[in-house]
Amino acid sequence: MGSILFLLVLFVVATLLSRGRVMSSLSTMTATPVLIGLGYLLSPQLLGIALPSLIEGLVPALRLAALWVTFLIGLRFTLWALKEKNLRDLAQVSFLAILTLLLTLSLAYLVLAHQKFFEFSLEQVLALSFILGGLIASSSYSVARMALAGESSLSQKQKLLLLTNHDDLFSVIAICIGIYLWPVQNSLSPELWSPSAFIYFSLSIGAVLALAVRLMIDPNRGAGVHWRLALVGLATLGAGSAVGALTSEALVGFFFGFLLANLYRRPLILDPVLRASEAPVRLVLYFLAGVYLELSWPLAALAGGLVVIRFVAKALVRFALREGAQKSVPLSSLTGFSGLALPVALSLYLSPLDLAQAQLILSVVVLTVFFSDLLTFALWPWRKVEVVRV
Amino acid sequence: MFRTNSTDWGHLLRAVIAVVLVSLTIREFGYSQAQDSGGRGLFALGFLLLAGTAGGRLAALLKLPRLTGYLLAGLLCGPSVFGVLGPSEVTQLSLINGLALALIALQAGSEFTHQMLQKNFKSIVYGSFAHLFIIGLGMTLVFTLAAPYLDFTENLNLAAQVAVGAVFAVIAVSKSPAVVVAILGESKAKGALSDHALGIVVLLDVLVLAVFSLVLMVAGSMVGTGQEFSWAQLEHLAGELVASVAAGTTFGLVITFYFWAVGREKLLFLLVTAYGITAFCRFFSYDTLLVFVVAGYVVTNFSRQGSKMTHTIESISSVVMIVFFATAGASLHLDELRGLWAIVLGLFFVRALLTWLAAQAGHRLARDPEPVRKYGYTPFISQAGLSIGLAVIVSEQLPGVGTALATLAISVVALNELFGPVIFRWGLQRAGEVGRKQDSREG
Repeated sequence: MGSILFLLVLFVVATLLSRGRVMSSLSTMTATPVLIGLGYLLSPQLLGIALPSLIEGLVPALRLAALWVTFLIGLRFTLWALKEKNLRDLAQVSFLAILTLLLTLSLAYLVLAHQKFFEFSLEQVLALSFILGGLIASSSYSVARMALAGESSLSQKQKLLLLTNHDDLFSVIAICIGIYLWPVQNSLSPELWSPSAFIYFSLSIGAVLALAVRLMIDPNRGAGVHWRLALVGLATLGAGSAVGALTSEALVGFFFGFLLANLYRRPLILDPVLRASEAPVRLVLYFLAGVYLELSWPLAALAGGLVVIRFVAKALVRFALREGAQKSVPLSSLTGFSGLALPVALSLYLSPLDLAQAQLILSVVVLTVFFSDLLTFALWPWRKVEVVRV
Repeated sequence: MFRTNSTDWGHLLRAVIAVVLVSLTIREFGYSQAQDSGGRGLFALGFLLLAGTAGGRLAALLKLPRLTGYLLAGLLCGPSVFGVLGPSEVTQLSLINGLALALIALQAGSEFTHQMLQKNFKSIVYGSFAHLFIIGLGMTLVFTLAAPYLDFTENLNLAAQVAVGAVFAVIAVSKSPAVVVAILGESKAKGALSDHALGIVVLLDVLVLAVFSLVLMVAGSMVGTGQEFSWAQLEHLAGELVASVAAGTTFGLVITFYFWAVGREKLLFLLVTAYGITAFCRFFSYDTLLVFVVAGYVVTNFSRQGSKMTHTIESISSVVMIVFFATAGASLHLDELRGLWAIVLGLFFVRALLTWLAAQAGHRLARDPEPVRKYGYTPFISQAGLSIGLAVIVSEQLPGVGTALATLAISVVALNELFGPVIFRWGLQRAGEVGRKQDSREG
């Protein structure tokens, strides 16, 4: 009861902070650093108001939130809609997404391999680089959408949104490679668990959930109450199953959304209730990400380096996208962060396995999100663009 | 009302296949390995939502209340039947039940208007007291007659047997406001029977709590628990009831002010308020149901925010109802029913008969309209959370006889919980009140 009350009080505080518009403003870059900062301030490391017992009680909500956010991200990947896209555009955005990924991955590798700060084996450095590189290269679809409101041509908007999707897709691939390369040690049940099982279970549970929705609700009947009830029920079930299968709720959610969107062959993400659900769920993620943050100088240095390299990569992407267009897209539409990164980092951290480097991944991601969103805030084209509801 | 065709059955079949597919596959994947850290609770919640949705659809196709489908789905998944969910998972869901009860009570309170109360005042008051006296005295008599044949009461003296019988009788008097509100909401019923049912279940909730405390004190002194009857405790109880009304009024004004002054994120605000007030009530031992009913009454009758509040509650009610009633189904102990089935069945029928007699007496005194006179007993067969809560208190407060008495009471409640909603829905249909709320809104 105490944990839920605490969470609800948090909602009230967030509502007051955002002048009653928490649902719309949470997705923007402005709320993210505030909530992460608030979480860190209340955490046991600082004021200690968020007691460990309270945080423990919020873990189920956090697991569900991680699954739900990545589920909504997965719903955006409609492969059938790619047929309508220009092949050249697809090749270009794929190249740009891979370029960003390679830059972040390389920097992560260079820093982590430095024996002065971190004492990792080569296997560990490789695995961590892929995971961190993947997480840092991901984008924020909602920030991109908002930054483009009222600006840019339709084709430019579409290309940018396609790019953010590709960023996330290649991020997931990199994360899966990183997990696959993960050296198994300190596992709670090594005889049952392996890195490939981690990915396999995520994919399989996601597939079962998507099939179940498809079986339960006829797509021709539209998205009604029963459809949403089935989604909530299955998402909750999926989060519980991910814990049981020692895998990541966030990956389960992503595969669930991805497969469902393509089984239904409809733009399910356009459902207003689903879209409206994202912002309050993110509140839990941002706040608890702040609570779990552990600061140290090497981590801060690594995060700072990743923020810079991410910024450089996104600036290069912006430069490439300008080709042929009359106006370039705002840089802030590319620097927005935290879509996929935080849920995945949190779910790895909460994994029942004793993943020794999960704290490092989480802290670096939280710091990078914090600084990237502050940067986005500073770059935000306030004069030109009216902030719209997400 | 319900058109059923092969397509509906086809969809239901697919839904059931989906639930089975998911449960088997996911269980195979690792639910059995799941340590806690929230995994089991999430699994239970998700599974109950799915099974409840499928059960509700099946019930609707069979022209039964959806609520019965939720209960049966929970029962089948629960520890008593297939054991997909264990007792610990069911316990973890009690947090959501607190929220559900709060929203149900707010909705019940918002149904009371000055006009409705003026119109039904006599009917509600006479009906409530008729239930209290006729079922209370009747069940005490029946229990006292049966006491020499029951293992746990055969060695008690007559006075103690009567006192224990009175405790059982008060539990038998209690109704289920949650079931009444849920069935009224689901069937969009409106009319004399609906108003009568709602008024009596809320008033009886208060009366039962007061009488229960009194009777439990007397029984405690009779069976030798060391407890003595004291007026101070009664004063304390009366104080709690008055404080509950005051707290409900205050919270009602707070809700009104928020809806009027802010008016945004209403659902979020109601959830916060519901959890906050529930915690407050637990801390101060206030009657949670009464507090929320009064709050709902204040919002509806002293402001223009009542319809906004009702619409906000309705937007989440499908999820809340499924989880609440499916959890209630999963909590039913059928294994206890097996050993006592003859006595339980006898008590079930006696209670139903006394309920009918009480309803008739109340209608004669209040001169109720015909639908109420004919079907006025149907809302009051149901029992649920309140009755189980009282039984649990009995098991804690009456060492020696308490546990066995609570088992017997909960077994009777199980039958009432399963059959009550069906009977009430039938009564509403016969009274011609189903769907009238929707019609009046459209009109």
